[in-house]
Amino acid sequence: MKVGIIGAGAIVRRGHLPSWKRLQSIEVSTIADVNEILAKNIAKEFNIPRYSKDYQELLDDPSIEIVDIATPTPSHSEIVLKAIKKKKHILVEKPLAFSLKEAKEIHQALKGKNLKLNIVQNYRYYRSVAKVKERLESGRLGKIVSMNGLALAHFPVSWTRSNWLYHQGGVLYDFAPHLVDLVLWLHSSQPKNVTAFGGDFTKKNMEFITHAQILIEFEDSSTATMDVSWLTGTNLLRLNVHGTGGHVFLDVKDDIFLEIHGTATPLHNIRRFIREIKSLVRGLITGNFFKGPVGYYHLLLTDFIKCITDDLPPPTPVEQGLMVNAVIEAAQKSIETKKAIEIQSILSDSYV
Amino acid sequence: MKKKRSVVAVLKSDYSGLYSNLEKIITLCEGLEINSKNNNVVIKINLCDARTPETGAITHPLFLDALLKFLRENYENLKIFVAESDATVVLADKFIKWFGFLPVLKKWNAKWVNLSKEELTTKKINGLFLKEIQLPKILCDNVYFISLAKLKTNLLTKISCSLKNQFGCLPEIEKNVYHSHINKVIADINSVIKPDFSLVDGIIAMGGTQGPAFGTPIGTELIIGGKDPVAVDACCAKIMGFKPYLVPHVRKSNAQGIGSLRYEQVGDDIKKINFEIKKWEISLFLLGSSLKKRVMRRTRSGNK
Repeated sequence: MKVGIIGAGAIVRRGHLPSWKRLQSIEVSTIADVNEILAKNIAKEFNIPRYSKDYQELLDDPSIEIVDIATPTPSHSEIVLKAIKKKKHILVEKPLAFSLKEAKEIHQALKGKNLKLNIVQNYRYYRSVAKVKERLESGRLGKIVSMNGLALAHFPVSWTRSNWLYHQGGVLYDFAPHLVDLVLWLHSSQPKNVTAFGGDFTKKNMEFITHAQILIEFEDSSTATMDVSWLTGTNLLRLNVHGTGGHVFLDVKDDIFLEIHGTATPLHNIRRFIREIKSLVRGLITGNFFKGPVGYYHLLLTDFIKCITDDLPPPTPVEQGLMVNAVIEAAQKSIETKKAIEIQSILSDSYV
Repeated sequence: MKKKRSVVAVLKSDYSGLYSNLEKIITLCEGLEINSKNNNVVIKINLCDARTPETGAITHPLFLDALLKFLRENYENLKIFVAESDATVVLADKFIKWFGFLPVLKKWNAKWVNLSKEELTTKKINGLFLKEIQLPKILCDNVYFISLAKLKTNLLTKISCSLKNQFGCLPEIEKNVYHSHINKVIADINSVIKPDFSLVDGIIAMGGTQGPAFGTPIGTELIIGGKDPVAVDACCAKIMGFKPYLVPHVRKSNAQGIGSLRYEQVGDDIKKINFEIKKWEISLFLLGSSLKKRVMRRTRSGNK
C-alpha cells in the first residue's frame, strides 16, 4: 500500500516516518508540506521518491491509498474533507479538528463511506496504559467512581515556531487531548457535563488558556478531574482511577502502573519501586526510554493498517475524536462563561 | 605598577529594595560611563525559555524596571533599547509580552529590539572557534552595552551569568549548532561585544541540575554588578560553589583578555550559597542526552 504524508514537521520526522518505514507492506511515496525545502529535505533523508508543496497533488494521485495528516490542527478539517472526497483512508494527528463544528463536519462526511479514519492517540499504546485498560475491562477495579489526571507540558516553542497553538484555547488543544482521550477511552460511561476553571495565568499578557482544571461528570454520576498546564516546566501524563473494587495509579511517561485493593501498604511502595526499575530497563533496551511517545507510533500504525486490510473498526475512530473535541470545547466554553456545559447541548445540531 | 583589580559589587536585596541597592551597586563600581558620545544604551536581558519570572529562569521585569528608572533619572536624552533574540526555544517578541515587559518598556520609553530581526554586520575575528561573526549592527555601533543577566546553573556551561548572556546576542534561531563548542563561542562573542556594565539578577536565582530553564528557583536575594564581565562571572561562580578557573567559558574569556579572574569583592560579604548542584546528576543527565541523540539518529536512518 502506498502512503502519502501531509506535513513535514518534527512529529513526522521523529515519529511517523521512522514508524512507517518499519512496516514492510507500506511504501511512503510522497510527502507534501507548504515549506517545500523542508519537504525536499525530509524526502531525501527518508528516501521518499516524491515531494511537493501542494498536498492536492498527493490527494490527486490514485495510487496513494492512505493519507497521513500531521499538519497544524487548524488545517485538519480542510485536508481531511478533501481526502474523504478522494476516497483515501486517513490517519490524522490529534485532536481531530480545531473546533467541534469541524469535527462534526468530518463525522458527517465520513458517514456511509467505506473508508477508515484513525486519530493518532499514541499514548494508548504504552504497555502500562494497555494493561490498565485490560484491568478495567476485566472488572478488577469494580465500577469507576472517579478519575484524576495530570497533563503538564512545556510551552510548545521548541518543536513548533508556528503561532497556531497560541489562540484562545491554548493548552486545551495541545497536550490536553491526550489525557481527555485516555479518560474517555478507559471509562465505559459517556460524559454528561463539563465544568472547567483556568485561563491566562499571566492576567491578559498571553490571551490564551495556559492552565485549566477540567471536571467531567459522566452519565453514571462518576467524575473525572484533569489538570492541564503549560506553566510548570515539566512533562507529566498521569492518571489515577478509583473504582469500587480498587485503585490504579498510572504514570504514562514512566510507563508504570500500580494496582491497589484496600489500603496501600509499604509493600505497594516496594512493588512500585521494582516496576520502575523494570520499566527503566525495558525502556533502555527498546530505546523507548529515549524516544518517549514517538516510540509507540509503529504499534499504532500496525493497528491502523490491520483495520484497513481486515476491515475492522479503526482503533481511534472519528466518534471518539469527536467526543474529545466536544469535551475540549465544553471546557473552553465553561472557562469563558463560568458555567457547566452540557455535552448533549453542544453535540446537538443547533450548537454553533 | 601593579594592575588594579576589577571591582565586583555584591549586595543582598529583594525586589522591594531593588532600586536603592541598584544605585549602591553602580556607585560601588564607580558609576556608568555614559556620555554624550554613547547616549544609545542597549540592555540585553535574558529570556531563555517560556518560563515566568518567579521561576528564576528569566530576567525579572522588576529588575529591568529599576534599571530603566535609574537610567532615566540620572541621564538625559538617552535612547534605550532592550534586546533579546529568538532561539530554538525562544519566541522573543512573544515572551516580551507574555512575561510582563511591555508595560515596563512603555513606562520608561525604552524600545524593544528583537536581535534576530535586526540589520546584521559581519566582523572578522581571530576567535577560539569563530573566525567570522555576524552580529546585530545595533550592538556594534557606539552604544553603552549593559548585560542584565540571571544567576543560574547551566547543564552545558556550569553557570549562566553575564558572559553567557551574550550568547543570546547571536541572531541565529538555531543557536544549538554552537553547543558543542559553546565555551569557545561565548568567549568569541564577548571579545567583540564586551558589556560595558554587567548586572546579574540573583534575587530569585536558579540552581539544581536542570538549569538554565528548568532548575530550582532559589531565593538567594542577591544582585551582582561590575564593569568586568569575567570578574563578575568569576564572583558568581564562586558564590554558586564553582572554582572560577574550572568554568571553561570564564577561563577562556580570561585567557582572551576580555577580563580578569582576579577581582575585589565589595558590598556584602557573601561567600558561598548552596545551589543544589550534584555533579553525578549532571554527568548522568549529559550521558542520557547524548544516548538519546544517538538512539533518535539511529531510529531515523537505520530503517528500510
